[in-house]
Amino acid sequence: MIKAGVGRSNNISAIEAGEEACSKAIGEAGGKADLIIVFSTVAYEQKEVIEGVKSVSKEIPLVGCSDAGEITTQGPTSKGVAVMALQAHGMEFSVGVGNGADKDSFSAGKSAAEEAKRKAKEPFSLFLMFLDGLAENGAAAVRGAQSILGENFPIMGGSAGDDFLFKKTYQYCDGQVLTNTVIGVGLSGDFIFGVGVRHGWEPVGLPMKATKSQGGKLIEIDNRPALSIYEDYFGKKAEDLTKEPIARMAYTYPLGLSVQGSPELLLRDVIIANEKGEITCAAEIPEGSEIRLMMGDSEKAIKAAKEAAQNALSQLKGSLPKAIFVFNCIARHKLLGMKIGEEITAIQDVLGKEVPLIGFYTYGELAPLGGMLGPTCRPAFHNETMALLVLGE
Amino acid sequence: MQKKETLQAIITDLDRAIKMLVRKDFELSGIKEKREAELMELDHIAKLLVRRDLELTQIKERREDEFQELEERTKELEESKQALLNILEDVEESRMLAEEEKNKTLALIANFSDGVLFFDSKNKLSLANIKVQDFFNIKPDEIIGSSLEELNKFESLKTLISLISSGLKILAKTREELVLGSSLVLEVSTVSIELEEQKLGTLLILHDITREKSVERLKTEFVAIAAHQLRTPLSAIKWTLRMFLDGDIGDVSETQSEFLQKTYDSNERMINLVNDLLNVTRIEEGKFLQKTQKCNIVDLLKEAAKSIEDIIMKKNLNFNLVLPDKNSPELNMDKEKIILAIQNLLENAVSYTKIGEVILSGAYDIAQKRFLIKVQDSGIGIPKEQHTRVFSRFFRSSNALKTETEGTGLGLFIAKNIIEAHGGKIWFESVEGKGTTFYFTLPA
Repeated sequence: MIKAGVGRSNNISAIEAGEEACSKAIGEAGGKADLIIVFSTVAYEQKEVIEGVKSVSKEIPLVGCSDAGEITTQGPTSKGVAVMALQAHGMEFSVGVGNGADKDSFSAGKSAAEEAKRKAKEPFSLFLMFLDGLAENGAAAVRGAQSILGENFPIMGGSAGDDFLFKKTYQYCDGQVLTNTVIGVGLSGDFIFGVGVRHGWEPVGLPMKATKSQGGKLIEIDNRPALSIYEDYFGKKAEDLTKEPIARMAYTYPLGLSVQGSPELLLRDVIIANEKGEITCAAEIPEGSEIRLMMGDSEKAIKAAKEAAQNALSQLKGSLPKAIFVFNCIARHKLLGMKIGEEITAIQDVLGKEVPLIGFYTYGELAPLGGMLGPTCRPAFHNETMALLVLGE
Repeated sequence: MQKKETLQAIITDLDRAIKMLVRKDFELSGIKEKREAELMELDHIAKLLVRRDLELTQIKERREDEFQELEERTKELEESKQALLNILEDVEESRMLAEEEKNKTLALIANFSDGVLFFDSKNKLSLANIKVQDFFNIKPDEIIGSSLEELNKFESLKTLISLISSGLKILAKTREELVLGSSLVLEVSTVSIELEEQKLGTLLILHDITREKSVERLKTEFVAIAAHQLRTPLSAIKWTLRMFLDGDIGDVSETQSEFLQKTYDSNERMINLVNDLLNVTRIEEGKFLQKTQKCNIVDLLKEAAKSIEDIIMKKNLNFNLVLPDKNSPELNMDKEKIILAIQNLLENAVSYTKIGEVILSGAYDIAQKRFLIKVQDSGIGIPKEQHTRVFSRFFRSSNALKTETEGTGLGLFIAKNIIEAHGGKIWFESVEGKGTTFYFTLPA
């Protein structure tokens, strides 16, 4: 039996906000819970908000991270805290933490999965991950976890945000507030789930080739400095693109990689460009990849979210949705602007308006390519994508 | 030969085919070039498109920022509005409290046993209670909102208005008596009401003193009758004793004469007391000054001084008389009363001085057009704590009671009333044990 409850608060006191949101979540979940999930603004003193949540949740395992906006059953909000209490009879949760994600994302992802797996009594059916949104290479963290769980093991999750400040993000594990870590939660037991992954971005212009790259750093495209493609497309000078994070201008113009097994191109956010013309992306772009410049459109983005929800629902095979997790890119928040609520409504139109929903605006999403499970399941690190997970029974 | 021809034909065909191929290839490369140019053009268009889109995105972003700011402003405004509404609510509450207080006050005023009238800062009547109706037989509703001129048109109000208004301006602070009709006497007090130095108006309180007045009148009448009835027998005793003492009705022994003298002195004191009491009752009846005539103050001073010559000699005191200039103006006075006032002052000076001197001086002050009369002694003085009561009826200072048993305590009261009835002022300076100086003025 799965019973979830969601609470949110934007009380000016961080402690009280944590308390309020958690009380409401546990209350809705029927007075008890087996897992607490917390997403919070960085405007709150992080230790205080977790202290507030813990004052209510006590010893119940707690995971979560800082965000760039919260999503709950009521829709998107910001500068607050959202808490989901998950009461799941017959399910087991096992948490692992990997450190040093800023230096070696692969190892951090691997450690988190290892620890969670070691502590688990039963084999996992699904693995949830929360990454540091500003640490090295999100895709490597996913590969690290895959090295333990297997290449086709379903992984869902998101990278922590910091309200679009790009300074420091936080991950929560029980009473701890961490940074540069990977938090992993293995789910096992009796439940069914569905996933959806879509972005709705469209490629423009001719395909190009990543001729030189190094992890998340894209050095040359078509044998020219990588930044030159943004100079061409934006009609701006290099210095205009380097004086502040290029993300601010280019968040709705990511790069798209054609990846086998995905109906859509896999998106990569560009974050910072330097005077050498190198671009640091949110995750790796392998050398030799064919890349395209992508362009977003609000109507297509909302349609994509709906398709993702439909995909997840079909995977439930008739079971009822009991809890929805939404890992939604901050870029979509920026693209949709005031229409941001419509995207969540589109999901709820498919999955049910009353189903407890929690999520946050991320700096990166973790989900199987094309939302496919089973033998063709290939988890990847996404950008600018709506990734959602539905638990059902 | 045939073979050669055949070969030739094949060669020709091949050549044609090659030429065709070359031509095709050329055509193809042309198409490819064209396609490439088209692709380049598409790519160029894509770039233009992205630029346009970027501009639009940035515009949209700015719009959204503006919108967000607008929303915040709206929220702030809403909050201000709410705050304002809360304040208004508080104000309304305070207003209701104030209203309640006002109603209480109005009820208090309406049922007040005195008549109350309030004139606003423009001297319009803004409040009158029911008692006013009792006094003047006019309903408050008829007169509220009226100016002094309008009020003056009501017959029953005329006396009041003329009393309180001077040039139709309400006097700030007065306390007057107003006689209405045959029996009603009101004490009219006007008080200027100010709040933080701003004049709000003038409050008029009409206190019914009819009963007090009649009691007072009865008392005065009684004293007047009693005193008058006493005076006749006292005079008879006086003259009989005089005749005894002068030996007009036979010789008396020395011892008898001594006793008769003492009886005579006591009778004199009794006569003085009765005279003083009669003076006081006349003062209270307001019919004190009887006949005024032009007189020279010099003569009056001399005459008053003469009355104490004997006692000055007896007590061996120095007496100094300083007279004003002969050419000083003559004054319109009740001569007898002024002499009485000066005598009262001189008698006090002499009575309470054992050694030293008594000075009576008069001078005319041209600048202020008045006489200043001074009676100075080197006597026992008046204790400081009793200074305020000096001119009260029956007042005698504590040290005076010890030294001098005579005296009615009415002399200064009478003197003060005489001087003030002439438009003058009286005051004194005194140090206990050193002496006292009384001053009074008489306007010329």
